[in-house]
Parts: sequence; structure tokens; C-alpha cells
Amino acid sequence: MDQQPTELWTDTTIEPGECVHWRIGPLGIWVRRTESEWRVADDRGLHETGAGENGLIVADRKSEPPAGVEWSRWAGDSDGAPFRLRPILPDRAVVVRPAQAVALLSRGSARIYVRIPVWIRAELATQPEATTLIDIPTIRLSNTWFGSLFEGELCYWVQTTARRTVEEIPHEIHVTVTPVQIINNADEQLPLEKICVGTEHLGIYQTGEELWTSQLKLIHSKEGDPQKLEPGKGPPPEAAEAELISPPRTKPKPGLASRAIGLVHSVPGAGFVMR
Amino acid sequence: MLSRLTADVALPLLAAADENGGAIRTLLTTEKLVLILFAVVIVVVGWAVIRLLSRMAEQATARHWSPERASLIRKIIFYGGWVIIVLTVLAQLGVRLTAILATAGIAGIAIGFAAQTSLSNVISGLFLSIEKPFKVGNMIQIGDTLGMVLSIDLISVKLRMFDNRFVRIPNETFIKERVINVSRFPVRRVDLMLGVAYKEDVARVREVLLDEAHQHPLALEDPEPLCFCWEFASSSVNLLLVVWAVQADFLKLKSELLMNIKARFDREGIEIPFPHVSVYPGSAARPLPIDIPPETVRRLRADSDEGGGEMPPP
Repeated sequence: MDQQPTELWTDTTIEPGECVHWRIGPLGIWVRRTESEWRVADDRGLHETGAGENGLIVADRKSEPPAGVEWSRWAGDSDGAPFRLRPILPDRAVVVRPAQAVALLSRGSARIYVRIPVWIRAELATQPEATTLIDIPTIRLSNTWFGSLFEGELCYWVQTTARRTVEEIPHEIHVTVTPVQIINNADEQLPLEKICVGTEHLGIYQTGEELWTSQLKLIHSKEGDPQKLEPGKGPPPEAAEAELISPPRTKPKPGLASRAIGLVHSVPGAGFVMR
Repeated sequence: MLSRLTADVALPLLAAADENGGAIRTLLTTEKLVLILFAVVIVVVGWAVIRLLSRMAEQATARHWSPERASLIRKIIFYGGWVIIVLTVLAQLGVRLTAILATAGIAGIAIGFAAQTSLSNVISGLFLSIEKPFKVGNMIQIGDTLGMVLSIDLISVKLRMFDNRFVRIPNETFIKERVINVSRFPVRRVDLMLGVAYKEDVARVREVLLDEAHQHPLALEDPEPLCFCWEFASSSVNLLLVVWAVQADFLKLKSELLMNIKARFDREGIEIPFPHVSVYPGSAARPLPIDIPPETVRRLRADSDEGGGEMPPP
């Protein structure tokens, strides 16, 4: 039976004694329920040794986890609430580079597409609010620093480069696509060497096998000033029919501003002094 | 008997009291009672005012300055206010202040000589609160002492060392000596000096090191890792790998990166050499005795049998 990506995020009833398996791209998740505990394990550790798989599996009740996985455990009664998985964006901003260095002309605008590996939230569908058990990254992202040596922000580094056209985007079940519209209202050109995409104000939408986030607009007005951020409401124009899967972590407020566009070599010499 | 007690004891006491009562009545005239009452009012009202003022000052300065500086401001206002209150009360009671101030001046000089170390620490504390080379929670190194700042007080700074020992350092030490604030900035660089054998391909080793740095999730991608061929040492070619991390990840990154590099070198067959020393006995010295292990002899014999060469004696 062909399994559909949309089935990944539906509620699943797990009886005591059962173990259910999901695979979302490179991440395998096993959920076991006992009389008084919920247990969740994943195979992230196997990825690092190259032994991980890849694909799509929805609620397989016959699969047992391989040796070496670590279980996280929660004790307590969930009143029979069903279990579900939900994609969410990383808990920090992500930094990405365009495929090729490009400068945005004064009074010009450009649209780029940033691919962000999602995290998977394991939760119990309790009322009135769901109970979060654990958030698991599908891919462990590297750290990077956005700012200067004196101040800045810890972000994730996304290996894949930003794309300029929709056709260039490969869609994978564990990766969302974020359209970023950059508008340069300044009198000078704006070099786009690296872009910091804040994820807390973006929701995730799904259409078929594709995951999209709300659009993000960055407005650059003056050199040295932070850019104005305008997160979109609703799905992006490229996926107008997509349905909301996960709301933003934080509701966007008017007047958001952040230094979202930086230079790769904004740290001259990386603080290194040749002796 | 009671009447005799009254006559022998009570009557003289009453007579004495009557005399003293007259003296007390002379001392405590209405005017002086008013002065004393006024002085008490000054003390009570003054105490309330300086308490209120000092707290308001502390709250106002705490919004813009550090808690230590705000506390210092509060103490200056509080104790300074009490000095003013005491002088005012003394003046109110008719005490001549010039003599007191003269005495205080002389006493101040004497106390200054005796307490110059403490005063130096107090003044150094003032400079520390103005200059702010570190704050509570920072990790600092002064001399051989490395620890986290617990408090910055009037006379000394308290540190907690990482083996949980408590250290008290006088403030003047921080003015006189070099202080390194390890955690002042959010990111820190890990420098790893690695030596490989001369026979290794240095360019390949450099690629391996950079690959390990890029693969480690705690190593920041920006500032990017760098690797330099640093020097030709006596036993090895030394390369310097430079990687950045946030402060909290510094030790973990350094340790894990070294372990990963060692494992990678072992897999790739890259040799980390031991120091080599050449020993030359000199022409006037006796030959050095050499002891060849038996397995080496057997191996040499086997090689010799194959090659047809001569064998050393057993």
C-alpha cells in the first residue's frame, strides 16, 4: 500500500504493549506505550555512522528498533489520548548562502528559496492543548554564528544553498521550503553573501509531498541598519492551496527588525593574527 | 520599727533627691528640652528620609547600571546622610563642631595610615565599578586563579573556582595585575597544534583536518575553520587548526575534535610521530651495547634466508 506524506501527521492510537514506527526521510522514530509510560526512540545516532536509512513509513506496527537506539521515557496517564507527529521549524534561525554570490541592485528585489530540514515534534493529542513529549531534528545541523566576534546570534547552518527559482527546488518530505523576498530600498547595492532566516514566526503548510512555510519579506532600507521583517500570513503564493500543519512558534508582531543579511567575511581574518 | 526605718533611710534619700531635683530642674530648662526634642525629631525624620532616598537611588541606578554599582550608590547616600544628621544634631545641641572636625581630621590621618590597605581596596572597588572589566557570572583569570565571579564587593571580589573552591581577592589586586575575562565575548577560538610525520602529504592532512572541523556540529561554520601549515619541527610537521565555538561549547568541542582527529588519523594511516633523538657516542667513547629482541633476530634471519645475505650472530 502506498503511503502518503499527509498521513504522517494524523493521530494514531497506540495501545499498551504496542510499538509503532515512522520514518520521515532520514529519521526513524519508534514509539512504545506501556501501562504507565510513553517511550520514544530515534535512530539519529546511526546516521552519524552512516548506517541510517531514508524514506517514508507511516505507523508501522511490526517494526522493532535496531540495537543501539536510546529511549526517552515519560511516566503518567494520558487518558487514552492518541499520539501524533508534527513537523516544526528549528528552534534557532538558520543561515544560508545563495548558490552563487549575488548583489541586489538599489531599489531592486529578489526572491530566493531556502530549504530548511524540519524537526519532528512527538506529542499526545490531549485537550485543551497537546502535550509535547520531545522535539527531534531530522538532520543534525551545524552551529554557526551570525554577527561579529563581540555580539551576534547562534544559528544553524544549512548546507544546501538557497535557490533562485521554484523549478530548481528538490522537494523532500523532511525539508520545508521558505520563500524569502528581499527588497533593497537603499541607495547602495546589497551583497547577498549569507542570509539569516528567523524561523519562529513562520508556519508550516503541506500540499501533497511538499512542505512550505509562510513567506518572509526582508526590507533593507539603509546600510548599517537592521532589516525590517514581514512574515507572511498563510501559505506562500507558490503553494496557495497548502494546508496548515504547524502554526508559528511565536505569533508575529508588527515592527519586527533584525540583522538578517550579512557578509561571509564580516569577521576580518576570523580574529587571527599571523605571527 | 517601720517608723525608725523611715527616719533613718527614707528621709535622707528624700533630702538628697530634693537637692538633685533642684539641680536637674536647673539643667533641664524648657529651652533645652525643646532642643533635645528637636534633635530627636531630626534623627527620626532624617533616618526615614535617607532610607527612602538611598532606596530610590538604588532602584533608579539599577535600571541602567550593574546591581553592584547601584548597591554602592545606596551605601554612599545612606552613610553620608547619617554623617549629615549627626553633625546637624550636634550643632542643634550647641556642640562646637570646629573642635570635633579638627579632631576628626587628625583622627582621619591616623586612621588613614592604619587602614591604607583597606582604603586602597575601597577606592580600587570604585574604579572597578566604573571601568567594569568583568561582571558577576563572568569567568576570569588573574594570575594562576581561574574562576567564576560570584560577587564584586566594596573591598574584594569573590570567585568560585571550577573545583568548587572559594577565592577572595582584594580589589587592589585587580587594579595592579592583568585580568583575563575569558567569557566576555560570546564566541571563543579553539587552537589545536597537531604534528604529523615528515613522510605525510601535508595537503591531504590539511584537508582531513578541515573536513573533521566542518563535520563537527559544535564547530561554527562562520567564522569558518582554518588550517595552517605552521612549522617544520624537530620531529614533525606541525599544523595549526583553528576552530570557533560558542563559550559554552569550548571544552567539549576541543576534546571531541581531538578524539575525532586521532580516530581519523588512525583510519587514514596518518602518523603522529614521537620525538626522535639521534645519539652519537663520539670517537673517544666505547661502543654502545645493543640488545636485539629475539623476534627481531628471527625476522632478520628469515629476511636474510630469502635474500641470501649475512646474518648477525645470535
